Amino acid sequence: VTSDFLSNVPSVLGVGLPRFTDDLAEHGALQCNWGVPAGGDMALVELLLELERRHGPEIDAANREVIRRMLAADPVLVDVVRAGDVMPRLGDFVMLHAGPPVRWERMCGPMRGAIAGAAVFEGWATNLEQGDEMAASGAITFAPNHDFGAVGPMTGITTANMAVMVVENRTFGNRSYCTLNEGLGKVMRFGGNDDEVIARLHWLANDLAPVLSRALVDIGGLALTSLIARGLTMGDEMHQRNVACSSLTVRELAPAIAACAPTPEAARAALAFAGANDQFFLNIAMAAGKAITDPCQGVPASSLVTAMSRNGTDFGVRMSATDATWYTAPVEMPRGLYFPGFSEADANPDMGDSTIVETIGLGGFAMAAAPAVAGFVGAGNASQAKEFTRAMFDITTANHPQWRIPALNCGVPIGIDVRAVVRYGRTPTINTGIAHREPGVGQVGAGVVNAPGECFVRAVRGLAQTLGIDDV
Amino acid sequence: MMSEPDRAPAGTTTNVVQRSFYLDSVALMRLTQQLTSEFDLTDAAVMVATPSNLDLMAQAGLLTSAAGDATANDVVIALAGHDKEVLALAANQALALLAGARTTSADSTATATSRPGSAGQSPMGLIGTARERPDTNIALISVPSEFAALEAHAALAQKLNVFLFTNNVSLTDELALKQRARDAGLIVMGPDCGTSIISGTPLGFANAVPTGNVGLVGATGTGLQEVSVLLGRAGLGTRHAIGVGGRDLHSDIGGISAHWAVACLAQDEATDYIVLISKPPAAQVGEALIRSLQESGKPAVACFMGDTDATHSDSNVIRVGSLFAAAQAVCKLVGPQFQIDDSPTPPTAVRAGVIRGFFCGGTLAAEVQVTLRAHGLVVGSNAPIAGVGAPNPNGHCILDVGAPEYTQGKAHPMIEPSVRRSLIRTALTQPDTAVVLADIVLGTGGHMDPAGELLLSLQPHEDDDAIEIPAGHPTRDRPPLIVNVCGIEGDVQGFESTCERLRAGGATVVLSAAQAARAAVQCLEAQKT
Repeated sequence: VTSDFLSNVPSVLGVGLPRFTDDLAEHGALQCNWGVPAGGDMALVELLLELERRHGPEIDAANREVIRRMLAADPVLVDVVRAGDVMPRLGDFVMLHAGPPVRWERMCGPMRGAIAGAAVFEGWATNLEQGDEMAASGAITFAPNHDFGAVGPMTGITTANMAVMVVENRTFGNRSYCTLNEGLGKVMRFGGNDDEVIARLHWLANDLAPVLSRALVDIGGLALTSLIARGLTMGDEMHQRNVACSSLTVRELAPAIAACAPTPEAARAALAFAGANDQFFLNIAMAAGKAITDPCQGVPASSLVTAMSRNGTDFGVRMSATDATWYTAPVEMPRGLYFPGFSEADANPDMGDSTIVETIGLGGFAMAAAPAVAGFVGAGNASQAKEFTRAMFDITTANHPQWRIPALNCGVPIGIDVRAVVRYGRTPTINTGIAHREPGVGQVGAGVVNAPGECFVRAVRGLAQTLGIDDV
Repeated sequence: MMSEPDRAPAGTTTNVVQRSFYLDSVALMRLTQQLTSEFDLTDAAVMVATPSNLDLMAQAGLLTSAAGDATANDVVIALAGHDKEVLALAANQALALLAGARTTSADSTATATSRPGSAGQSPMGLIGTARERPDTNIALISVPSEFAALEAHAALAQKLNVFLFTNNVSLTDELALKQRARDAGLIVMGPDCGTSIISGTPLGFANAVPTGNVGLVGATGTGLQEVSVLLGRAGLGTRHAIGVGGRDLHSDIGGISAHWAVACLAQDEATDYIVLISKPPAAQVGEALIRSLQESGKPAVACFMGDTDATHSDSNVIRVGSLFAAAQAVCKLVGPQFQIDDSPTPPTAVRAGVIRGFFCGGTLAAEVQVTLRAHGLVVGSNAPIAGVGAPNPNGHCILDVGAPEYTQGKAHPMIEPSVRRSLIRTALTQPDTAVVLADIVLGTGGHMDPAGELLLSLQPHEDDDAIEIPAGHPTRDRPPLIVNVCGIEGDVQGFESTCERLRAGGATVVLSAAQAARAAVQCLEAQKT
């Protein structure tokens, strides 16, 4: 036996009857919150218990390995390229979308709007109606971004001729991709698809991408872990608020853009676009999230979430142990604030691959870092924002040692454990933009949404199955 | 199935949902009881809205659509009565009681005396709180039985030692938890662990004993309390008292926690003497533990309750068969200046009949049985030691009122001693009762006024129709009530004041369970002569 159990003064947490903890008040004991696990579903309680009895330490060890990989990641923004050049399977009449797989018939309005627009952008259709008909007729093959090493915000539509940013995880050598952020207003990620939207996509691919590419090569890439750490101390949570990191990115790139742009006008346009877009960094953070989580997939017995994503119809969760399997359930409606003239009646259900940032402990999980966002998404003040983040401690396995939040004295909670989500009946909190439910309108608000609990229940069952436990 | 309000012609039903609220079921039942006594209600339930509880309430016709979306994170207040205004008042009172129960001590809503402290409350569960406070090393778990193993596993995964107060955890789960703990270099104290003292800090039920150089390991909560108190009164301090749960020395568990505890005490430089206390263990388990004690190299006492080979010594390990003998053996090891007070108590009123004992402490009941048997008496008990039979209504009978048959759906009598009130009252009025024995256990975790509660037994209660006082047996002529007080100066309830109140109330006070048994025997002998 080697234990310091008896040489330390006990530090006690109480769970259950408060009297025992109260008697230890002067010894600094703390009473934990406790509620009936798994909503009192005794079959689920028994399944969770069976996982602990037979595989508890094995699952914990697998989860430690996943956390090790997450924390060892070194994501670097290295380039901006044509999507088709780095994703060979992304050819003509192939379109990538956000979330788990979904057939056109089940796609929501904004997703369909973006698809029609992207068909026009690619020149497959001459107008939106024709694009819509193509999609409905089955002439376009759809696949999730996640299956191509990519992620995309909201509708997440990605096609071969769009520009994508490349983030390389230098520890593991894998690369991930995400389109450039189009700015606010009428944009394809919210289902916008008019001429202005399509023209901007062409400008991003033809003008901005080459300038950014040269600048990134010039500076040898932009290391993202430390950039995000700085952003967290400057009020960003990397989902609803990216103004600090966007500014830091422009600051890092500006000298190289000035030097590498073909003309002073091109440099001005590039800097003006990136500099005026508060959410420019969102897509970079998303690509970083994908680059961090991809090497975490496929660790046998690990119950940690490696991706969360939604397509506007279904919410999907991937778990390390079962690799690329999606555990899905219908998406929920965001709760939030609406732009003037819009209301909840206009809102589309939750959508986008951007929940990859919550998967790595940012967004809703880092609410405490971003009091400005907290008010916007329904947490009234800074101390409430802190509680949003602390609520995620119970369903995660670690705190990021570098991504610290000044208000918390510790790092963001990372490593969502599907077992804990089911046990506590508490699902991940996601900060999100809200799209209009009709195609072509765009963003109407922003708020918070919770991942549906059923995804995690399914993941727990999936874990039990891979470990040879028959459902109880 | 849900019934709409006003459908029942006889009355009306109201439901109020308190969202995101949890209170243990005992506290909720007590709160419900308070509501039904304060208000004119035909039925009431205040329950956590688990699927099974919702079913129960629906079957009782207590659910309305207002509780339709309640989840297991909520508490439902369901009230039925004849007057809507009364229901509204009662519902408001229920909400106020719930709020109060959260801020004060949730499980002592019915007692006037409040607990001395109020611990900080984390908004997070065990996992989050433990991560936010990385110096945490013990989780003290007292959640309902069906969820206790899951909570304990979570604590072990967080690298926390576990004090598991909850009982009725299966042997399978106990074994799985203890193996997991052992593999991780941790200990599970329990399940059904009442008492531990770690480095002088009391966990669960423990007394304000001095901190010294004795280390105890016990598969018994009140056994640890009794020995630490006897030693403390003799001037010997207890550094650690490690509870391992009543079944740890069962052959299925193999003494995993006891071995770990002995090994830790052997290693602990501040511990000079080791005492192991248990019911007689499975043979191999006992032998292996004796070997562990021998290997510790420290002077040790092994107390297996009722061990008939008692009080002999092999190597550094002295074997005894009672708590009292264990404390005496330690005193002898340390030095002749340390003595346990063993002055005999003169018999008080003397009458013919049998001894009837009612004990909150299970091991105190066992200690009394050991002592009575040593005096050659035939004893019955619901928690018999070896050689003792089932309870016999006409014989000497020692009851453990903390046993499941008395505590189903109720708090343990250490927390709520009123469960034995009517039992004691009845025994005091039975013509064939020679002596009534009862224990009072002071210290942390327990009831704040057990003496006052016990003295209520001496007053016949007009509402208590269970008792018929036989003609010719006025209550003044009752048999003696001998009370052993397990407590020490410094206990929150007040040791001296407790003893004085008991004496003033007409009880005979002794300071150990063994002495209580001997005093009872003296009463019988005095009657014979």
